[in-house]
Amino acid sequence: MQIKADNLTYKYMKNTPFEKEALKGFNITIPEGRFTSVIGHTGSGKSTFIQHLNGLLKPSSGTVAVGDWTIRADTKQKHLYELRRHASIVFQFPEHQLFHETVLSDVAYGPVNFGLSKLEAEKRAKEYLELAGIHPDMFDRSPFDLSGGQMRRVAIAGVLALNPKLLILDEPTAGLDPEGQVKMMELFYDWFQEKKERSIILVTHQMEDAARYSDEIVLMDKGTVKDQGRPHQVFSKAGELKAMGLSVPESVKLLSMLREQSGEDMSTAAFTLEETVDQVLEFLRKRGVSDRV
Amino acid sequence: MTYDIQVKGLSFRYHEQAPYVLKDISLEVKRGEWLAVLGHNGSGKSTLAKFFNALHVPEEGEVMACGHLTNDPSQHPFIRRQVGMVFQNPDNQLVAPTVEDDVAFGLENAGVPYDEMQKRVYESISRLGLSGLEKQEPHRLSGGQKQRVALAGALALRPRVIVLDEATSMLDPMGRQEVIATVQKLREEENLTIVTITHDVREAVSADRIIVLKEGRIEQDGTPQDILTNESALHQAQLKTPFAVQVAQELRKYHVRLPDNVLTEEELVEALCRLKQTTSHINI
Repeated sequence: MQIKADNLTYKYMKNTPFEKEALKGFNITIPEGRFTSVIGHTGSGKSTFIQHLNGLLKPSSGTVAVGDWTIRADTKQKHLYELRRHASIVFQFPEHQLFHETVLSDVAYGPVNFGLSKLEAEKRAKEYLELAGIHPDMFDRSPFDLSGGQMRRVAIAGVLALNPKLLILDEPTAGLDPEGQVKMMELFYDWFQEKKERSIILVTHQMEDAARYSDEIVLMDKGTVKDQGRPHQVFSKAGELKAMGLSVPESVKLLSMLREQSGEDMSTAAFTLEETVDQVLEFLRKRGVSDRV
Repeated sequence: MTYDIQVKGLSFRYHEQAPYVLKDISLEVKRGEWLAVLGHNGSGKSTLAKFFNALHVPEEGEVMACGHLTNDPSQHPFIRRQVGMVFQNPDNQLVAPTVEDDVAFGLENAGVPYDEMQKRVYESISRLGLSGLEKQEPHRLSGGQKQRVALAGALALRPRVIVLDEATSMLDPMGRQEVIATVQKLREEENLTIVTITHDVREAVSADRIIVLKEGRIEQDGTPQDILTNESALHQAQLKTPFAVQVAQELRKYHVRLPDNVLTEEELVEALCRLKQTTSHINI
């Protein structure tokens, strides 16, 4: 589903002394089938923006179009019911939303709600639980007896089982250990690649993930879009990001420091270990430390 | 040598049929030392931390905190004042309507007189760079600020030991940096003993000593230098080698001559820039 925000403005606690404009005439187009990361400092409006994408929030003014749905200030809730089958949000710490008696019934809850029979819903729940790396032994256990990482996988299986076209992820790897983080991102990326029409919007502070998986990065600042482009473009402006209180991927940070300290003109566009090593070797060659033994 | 924490032969499981989460742990933390406990989720590191201030008490083995056995319940109030803890979730440990009230909460419980309390609250707030936020509501602060308020509350009790149990894992990069910088500052300015529990190797870089836990056992015990450059040991413990160490190791394969003690980006850049004067030690 294509996403298009047109002059989108959102005010929290409208018409009260606490009124705060979180999105200020926000414009953006994100084509279908893309992996897009949204980055920005805490309070830049990232979470407010993504909550518009399945109608949890409605614009104070302006519009958001998601696929065939257009959401305005006066859009009725019942008009959005169908949209929510196709656009799903995984909130931060989704394991806090588990509630059912067993792992299986928790995951099947959403599909049943959207009209599947119990049998069909459980079949689909099993499929996505296995995809999320939950062993069938655990299906009949209480979700609250699982480890934190497993609980999160169950919660995410519950969202994937709705078979959305657009998956919106808010800091999905926060609090996981390094291996857990990689596994979680691979799970989403595999899901994303399986079908051409699937899209992901990832809100993250993990710049390495944003750089590695995204087709495009959206940089938000003070309720507006500050920059939108491929990871190489957005992360080439390390100074600007730093001024906004953001970090860059560690590879970019290392190369930027090297460039600054040496005064050598060099590219800082590298997101993997191999690319970084290549850039450093290139740097050494340029400096004449590259005599072959 | 004074030890603030001494653990001998500690094993632990949550109930009788459950598997052991800690297996025969022995370790000592010196007065004034900064110990980082590294391990992946489920390695037992947070469970271990709870023994340091008697939130758990041993059934097998023994734990001494600031010279007292934690098995003795009559010592718990003393131990808990001496060993302060900051936990993972900033939203779960702030209780009062304002920052200053929150910092005062522990002091009030400990029965510290009002005048003394006021003095300590403002001292603690200013030490952690929170001046100006005294009247703020904690829930309006950033994650990094919230964790510093929690730390201020712990420090106001003037403990000998501070344990940070994954205190940065829920923060954004700026917040994490804020908290780490604060810990480094405390480390330099006072004779505090610090234990940081983490799965983020970057936080362990400036510790004096690191232990690596895996499946409830101490797998490694050494300096950051020893541990963080040992890629296979870190990998086995499901931890990530610091990025600068990874790059340095790759560069050495191309015969770039780098010192062994490169742990951070700063150190690597420094070393690379120094290579300028010399020639002929690269083979591509």
